[in-house]
Amino acid sequence: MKKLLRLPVNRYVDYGLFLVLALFPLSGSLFYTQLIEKYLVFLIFAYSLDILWGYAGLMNLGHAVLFGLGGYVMALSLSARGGIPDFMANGGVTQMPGWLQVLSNPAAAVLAGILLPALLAGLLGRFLFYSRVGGVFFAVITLALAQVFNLFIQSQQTYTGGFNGIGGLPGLSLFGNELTLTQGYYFVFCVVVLAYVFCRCLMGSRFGLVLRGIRENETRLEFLGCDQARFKTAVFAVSGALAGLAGVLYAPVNGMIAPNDVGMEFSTAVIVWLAIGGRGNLTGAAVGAMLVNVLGNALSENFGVFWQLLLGAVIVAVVFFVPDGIVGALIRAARGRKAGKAVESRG
Amino acid sequence: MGDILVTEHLSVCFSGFWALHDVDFSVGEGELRVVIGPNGAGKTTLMDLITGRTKPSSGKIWFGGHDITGKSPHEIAAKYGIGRKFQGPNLFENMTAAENLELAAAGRGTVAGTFLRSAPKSAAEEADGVLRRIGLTGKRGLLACELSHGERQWLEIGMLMMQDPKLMILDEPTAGMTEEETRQTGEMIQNLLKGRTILVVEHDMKFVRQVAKTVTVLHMGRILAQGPLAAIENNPEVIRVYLKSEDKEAPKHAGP
Ligand SMILES: Nc1ncnc2c1ncn2[C@@H]1O[C@H](COP(=O)(O)OP(=O)(O)OP(=O)(O)O)[C@@H](O)[C@H]1O
Ligand SMILES: [Mg+2]
Repeated sequence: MKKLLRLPVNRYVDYGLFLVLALFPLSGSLFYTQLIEKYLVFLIFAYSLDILWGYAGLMNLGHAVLFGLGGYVMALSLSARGGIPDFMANGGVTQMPGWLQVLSNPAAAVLAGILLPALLAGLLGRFLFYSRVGGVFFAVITLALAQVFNLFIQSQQTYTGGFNGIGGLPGLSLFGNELTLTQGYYFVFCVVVLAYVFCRCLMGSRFGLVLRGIRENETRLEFLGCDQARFKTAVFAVSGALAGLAGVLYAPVNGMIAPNDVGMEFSTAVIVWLAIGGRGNLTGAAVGAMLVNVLGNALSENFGVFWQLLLGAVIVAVVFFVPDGIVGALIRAARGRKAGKAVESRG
Repeated sequence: MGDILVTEHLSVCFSGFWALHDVDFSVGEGELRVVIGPNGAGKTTLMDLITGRTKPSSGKIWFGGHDITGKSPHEIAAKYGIGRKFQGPNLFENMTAAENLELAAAGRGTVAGTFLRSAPKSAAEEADGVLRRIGLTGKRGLLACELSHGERQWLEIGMLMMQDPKLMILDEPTAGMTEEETRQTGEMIQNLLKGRTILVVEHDMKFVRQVAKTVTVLHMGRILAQGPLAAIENNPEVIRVYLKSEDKEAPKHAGP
């Protein structure tokens, strides 16, 4: 109990949010349960960017590439369960390619959907960070990469469904049994909690400490004997794996995947979630992702076409008035009060 | 006693300006050497070269018998054991004092080695010990940016203690300190000497008199004089270019 009371303020927010999310299906609305299930997947995606950008200070403007890679791998796998998918047949493919046969195994697809993005990120990191590309240059290169990846997906109509993407995907299933909506929701919820615990442990370790050190003062760290490129590459790969995992879940949960989900637009979206919620504490990523999506949905229902304008105004206001995000401001406020108390008790 | 650090004909040129010119500099193992010299003499540049921040235009740097010329800063720090406090504050500002210390010892090894929950117990105890030695036990939870100027300087020295290098380089460790803080720092540095070599760049002559035995004077990128403190203080050339102005203005500047 004492331990619980000594927690940093944002941990209460984490647990509170998880409690609400755990109870949500009890509301009985299938429509909203399905919607929130999708947002749960976004939570994992948001965490994956937070360990990269929030903790290590590496702003990836093409983060959706990693998400999309996982998503497309899973979508291909799901669409190939009943033989050659339509979009491939339309493209003139008459025999199932070998790699797709491998992918049609669900376990192989999950593995590939997580490992391929990790590998891509790791390779990119190996090239960029070891040649000391960082800061703005890293952001710009990742942005270009997002654009290239998006074009690539669109141009490979035969294998990716092109502009239309891959649709009509079956929902989540576990060991061959298709899950009901509620079961699926709780399955995704469990994965979110696991991802959260994983990130908490990793960021609470000395690895996380070094990442924050890189963000704070990279030069100083180097003169303390730290090979920062190695740590950056490692966190980029881990972040890629998590983003890939989110993509892997997204394909069955959303029922389809399209180039929009892998390009600049979605990459920007996750940046906005973190900017709104706050970075480098995991809480902000979750709060931002939930808030922006729920708000976006509510606004679009009530204000028709103006919703994006309104959401934009809210975003600009938050970024302008609370630059370290909602949760960042909350932590600062709590810290200020605590420091104040300490001074009082001393004086 | 052998020399642990040797530079041979070390020169560096910044777009036509020779910040260091043909410097043959050496420090004995276990020695505490003080480097003085007027502003712009090239003191910090010399430290930059030794720690790999700047690559020399020509010449060689030997440390413990190894050629470390042109090696990367993290290799020089981790593999060869040279630690450095920069001129002017250089901390992890938004991290606590304790975290700053932990970090000083955390990043050296492999990535996988840092995945473990926390530092080995001995390292945590070490951090506690260091906090005590630099007098910051009560402020371990404060952010570096919340500490006073003197405390921040001490935190930097504490980080070097955690890093535990063979050669410790301190660039103006007492800049901006009160007289009493300066004296305490002098004691701290003398205590640190056990089992290692220390190189201090300093302007404060009172501090230099407190800690120094051998002094090297740099002037316009060259070694002007070197020898026991007493001889240096009576060297007419040193008095002319440095000591006179130094004593008159008694500057306690915190340079860039
Ligand atoms: N990276 C650089 N590029 C260009 N010029 C430099 C660079 N670093 C140092 N210099 C120049 O080299 C000269 C020596 O500078 P240095 O910082 O080594 O002096 P210093 O002896 O440490 O002086 P101070 O007592 O003011 O710290 C100065 O004229 C400085 O402007
Ligand atoms: Mg200097």
